[in-house]
Amino acid sequence: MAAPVRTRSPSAGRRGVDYRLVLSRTIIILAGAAVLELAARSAWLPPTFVAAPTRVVGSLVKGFSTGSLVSALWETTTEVALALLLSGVVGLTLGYVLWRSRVLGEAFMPMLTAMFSSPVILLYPIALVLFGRTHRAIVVQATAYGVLPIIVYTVRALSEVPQVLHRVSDVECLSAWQRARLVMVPAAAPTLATGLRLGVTYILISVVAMEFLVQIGGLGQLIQLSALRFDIPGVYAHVLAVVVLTSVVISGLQAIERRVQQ
Amino acid sequence: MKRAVWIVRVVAVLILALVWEWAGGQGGAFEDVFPPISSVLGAWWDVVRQPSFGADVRITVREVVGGFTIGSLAGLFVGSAIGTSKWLTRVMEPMLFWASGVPKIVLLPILLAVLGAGVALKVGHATLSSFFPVALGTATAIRTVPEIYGRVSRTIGARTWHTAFLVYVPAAAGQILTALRLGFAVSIVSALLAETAVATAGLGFRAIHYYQQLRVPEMYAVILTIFVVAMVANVALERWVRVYTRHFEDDRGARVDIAS
Repeated sequence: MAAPVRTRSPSAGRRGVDYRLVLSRTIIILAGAAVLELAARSAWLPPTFVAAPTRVVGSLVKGFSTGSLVSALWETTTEVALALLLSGVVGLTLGYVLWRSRVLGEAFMPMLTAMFSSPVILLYPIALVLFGRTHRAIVVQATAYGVLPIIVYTVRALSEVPQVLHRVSDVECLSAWQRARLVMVPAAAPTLATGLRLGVTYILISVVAMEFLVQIGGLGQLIQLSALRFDIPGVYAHVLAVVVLTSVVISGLQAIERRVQQ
Repeated sequence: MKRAVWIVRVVAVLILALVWEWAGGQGGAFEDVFPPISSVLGAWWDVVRQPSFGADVRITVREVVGGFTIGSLAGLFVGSAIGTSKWLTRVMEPMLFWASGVPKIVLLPILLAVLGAGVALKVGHATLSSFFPVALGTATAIRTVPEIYGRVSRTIGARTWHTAFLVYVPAAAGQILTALRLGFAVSIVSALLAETAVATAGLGFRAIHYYQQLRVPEMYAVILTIFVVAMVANVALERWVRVYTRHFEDDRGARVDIAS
């Protein structure tokens, strides 16, 4: 389903939604689905890797009615939420410590920045060995992946707070708590929001990927199980569920980030 | 200050190594899952001397380079099309952005049906993964080239290909190279991840094979080698891109030679 776009176009409605854009995207998606439906039903493309969209929707409906999709969504969402809580607490704390101590910051930030764009997800066999094939391994691995952008952006956010605000806080004799609550957090909020958004994105990717590879539960496991049963509509249906979940989470986080940056 | 920073780094690495060695040497079940660093280093030396290790490295490199080449070419083409068209930017770019957030590993069963279980599967997975950051980065890079550059080159009579290659490409080069660097990093991860899922060779396969055989020190050795090499390659590429794009900024970007 095409998502509304906020824009200042003259064709925008009262809430700033450009209906021409929504219509264009909907037409493109429906046209693509129609071509796929035709290709699948007339066997232009082999049924081993293309499923008719109507059958995919049928598979989705079946998944919801039997409850398997709902429980998988719940498992995935719970793992993401736990990993976000852990990486948020650890990331914000470590970020603050690295900002406060110039020596520690200069010593470790280059390494953390390098690790930020490194294949942390490839460490998942180590998580499996340490925690077994359990949900704990998924949460720990996702936390390790999501904590890095949170640390990096926390340091950046606190470093970007203008010096004049620190001086004003000194002049007003604010306590440490007042300084944090009234000055630091509001000033750092936009960049912190970006870091948290990136953290959640990385966590989501890590959770779904590990569920797929290790088959412990969640949406990732459903995709693998459908593939093993040669249930191609099921594979596409569950991939679509991942796409929708990812899109909803990313869109929601972007909206929060834009709100904070205003 | 610089000395203090290096002292902190060295001390941190030493403490980590000592804690690891002590924790791993506690014996019992713990040693099975967390071997001491000396065992890991010993296993690393045994693994890299095997002839099959070199073959696995070559296979993985081939998959990464192949996937990145195809993915980045497609990404540059699509990104350029989107970046130069306001309509495509408004309609397609958000959809591309949403699609980029999906973990491509979940598409492995579909790729498996299309490409089989050989090297093509890993190349296809790396292609899919590297396409999105390159396409999005290229679109952004072209869109952020100041309009005045294009207007000036048209005003002085430059031809379209002059404007494209002597004005837009240098002006967008920095961001495009950054997008290509991200695409390369992602293609390394995706080729290796695909190898852990479906493969009979390659570094990712080797790591997961050791895990399945409970050869834990060897598994740690291979995974940490992959991680460190990928991190170093990433940092080196990032530095190179920064130095190279500084050259374009020093040059002030565009130079248009008009054929008289």
